[in-house]
Amino acid sequence: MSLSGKFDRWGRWLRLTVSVGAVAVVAALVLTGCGGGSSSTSGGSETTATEAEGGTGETEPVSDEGAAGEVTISEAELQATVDEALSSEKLKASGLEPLVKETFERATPELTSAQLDKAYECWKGTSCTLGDGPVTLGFADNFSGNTWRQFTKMNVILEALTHPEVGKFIYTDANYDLATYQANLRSLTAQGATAIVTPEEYGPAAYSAFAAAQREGAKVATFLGQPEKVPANALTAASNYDLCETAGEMVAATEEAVGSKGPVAFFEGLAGSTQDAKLKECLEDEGVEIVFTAATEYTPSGAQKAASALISSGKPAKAILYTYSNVVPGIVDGYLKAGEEIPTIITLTQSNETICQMAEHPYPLYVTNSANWSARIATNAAIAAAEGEEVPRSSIFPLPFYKAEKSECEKDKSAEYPGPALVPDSLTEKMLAGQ
Amino acid sequence: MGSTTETAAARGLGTIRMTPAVVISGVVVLLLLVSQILVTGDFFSRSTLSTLTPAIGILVVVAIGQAFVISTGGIDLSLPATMTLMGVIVLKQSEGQNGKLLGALAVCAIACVVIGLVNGVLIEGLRLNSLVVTLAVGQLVTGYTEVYRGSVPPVQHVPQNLSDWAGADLGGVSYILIVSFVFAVLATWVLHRVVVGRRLVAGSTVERAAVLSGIKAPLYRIAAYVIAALVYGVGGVLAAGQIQIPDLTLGEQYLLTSVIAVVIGGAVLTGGRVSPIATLMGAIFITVLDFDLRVEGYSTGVRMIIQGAVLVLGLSLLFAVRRLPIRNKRRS
Repeated sequence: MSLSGKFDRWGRWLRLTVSVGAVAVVAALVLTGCGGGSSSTSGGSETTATEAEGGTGETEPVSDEGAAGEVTISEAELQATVDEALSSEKLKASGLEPLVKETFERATPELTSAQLDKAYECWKGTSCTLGDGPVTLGFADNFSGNTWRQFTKMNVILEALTHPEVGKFIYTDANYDLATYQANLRSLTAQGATAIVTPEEYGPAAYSAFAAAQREGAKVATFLGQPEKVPANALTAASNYDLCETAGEMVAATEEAVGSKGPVAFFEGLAGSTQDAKLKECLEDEGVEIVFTAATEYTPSGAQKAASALISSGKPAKAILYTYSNVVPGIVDGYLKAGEEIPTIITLTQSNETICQMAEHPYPLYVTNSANWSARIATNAAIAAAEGEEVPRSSIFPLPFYKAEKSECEKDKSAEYPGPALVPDSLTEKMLAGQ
Repeated sequence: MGSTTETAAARGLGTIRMTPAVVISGVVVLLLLVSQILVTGDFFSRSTLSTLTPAIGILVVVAIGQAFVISTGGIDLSLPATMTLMGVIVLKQSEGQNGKLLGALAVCAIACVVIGLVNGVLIEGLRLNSLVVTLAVGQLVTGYTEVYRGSVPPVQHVPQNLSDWAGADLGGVSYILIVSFVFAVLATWVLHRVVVGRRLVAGSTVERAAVLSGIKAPLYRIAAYVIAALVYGVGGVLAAGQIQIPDLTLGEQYLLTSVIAVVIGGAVLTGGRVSPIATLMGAIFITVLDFDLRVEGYSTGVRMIIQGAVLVLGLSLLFAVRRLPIRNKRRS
């Protein structure tokens, strides 16, 4: 018999085996789903990475003794939290918007070791029980595969722990896929989420899914991105930095660094991002002279290509303005390889590698705090709204730039470590150790 | 008179042998000249070459891998997932230490062989559609990569030796491009001059005839998937070394570009003979065109329009070239 004949016969046998196996697996899954009942909580679209590491994370609630709402804190303690969160001592806590200030107040008291353990267990899983309250909190994340996202998830959990009215917490990850993201929102409401927190990243494409979730009784609150022309029924609250105010801060940093408003290069993230377009427009309104624009797709290689194109264009950019610190090392690598002088880089967020690289190859670097805690404001708003409280529809927080110092490099921490994130040190260590 | 001129022209073309490889090489030379003269005055300067050549080199490597699969009439959508997995294996297995790099590379090779075998056996053994199989395998690998990597990997920097080598260059030309060029020449030699390579080509281009000639065509076709996966693995390791902190997006950009590089290198998606050298030229063409458009400051949307238009034009030209010998034969 020829080899292809053997393959055909073997193929028929294997096809049959695979078919029988597939039917058996489906039957087993159906039976498990029917019998699983109350113990199974994870939706089909939830991330598998965290499940594998920590199971579903379904654990017993801890006492809310020591929750932030019950503890009195001093103005100095609050100010210290604000200074850490903004990586700046320029702004007073009293000047912050009420919900933003309340969020920092809740973040100030030290958590008990039981709460820290609970937070860590919950962070490792995709669902957990945080308390005895009636509110089910859902966090519809767009991606879970980087350290910034993981610190943001921890912030949501830590904030939820300060609310005794929260019972269950459910986490979903869309892996950068809009359809999955929309399905995840539906799965959260199907699992009884009454408060949903989510980053504002898809703009209007996500608003119909938000509106559907709100029709199902959930209160949706977004963080970080600035919602544009969002329908009244789609969103309960949004917490974000103001793009034009941030542009103003960028301009001030540019003037401080290079002594003028340009010429500069503006590096975009994802193609067609409304946030980048708005920020660029605000920068131009502020009189910034943008001589070169390039997209980076927020990837290290994209950043390298953008830097390479800028160098070869011969455009005399004195500074590069950007919105994502994690891939700045790619930009700097481009300059190092080319043997060119690294210009000033002014970017939103920060990462340990970016600062450590600057320490090794010094150049003027301006960053902001990574604002993982902005998810806390949205969490606060969504939970309060779910409990029937009035919450401000929009909460704006400041995001000042500052010049990074070599001493901020923390060599014992991983490359993507996003800097001060209002996560207790003991938790940060455990998270970064990959335990 | 007219026929005499046509015959002379045909004879002239016949002397040059207008193959797709020759056409794409000519187009690349033209593009390089345009880049130097019209786009940036210092295209061949160290500053440009040092950042551009590693990108070309990695694309050349993975595109040659894709060419092996395309030659069988298939297409491999598991390429990005395989590359990304390589980055994560290098991080996890080496723990950022030079001493453990070799072990990490061995694990990479094993993983690639497994991926290639799964693809090959399912497609050639079960006669399943390559699009569906490689898409599913890609999903499996992506999911496994996320689980294996963990939420916050404690080590996020590749070993120094790897990043140093991947970042090294010779007069601005990256070692990666030099190696990829050698690889393309070697692959061409194997495919055209070595028995195993010629059997692989025969098994891919005319499977039935190859089987009747006693060639174990299905095995060779499975081998094409394994070789391809190993080559993606090399590309993934090089890309990880080049960007130093590989993340879960490491392989994303190489899926479409690798297919385009092979196609504009003269291959047809229904299978048949492929030329690694022409694929190399295709990879250079795509990367340099994208670079030129970036330098000119075009937005992503405009870049995509221009790249699409150039691709359509290029494919039309290649189609015309392929038809050329037929027309000449008919005339004679």
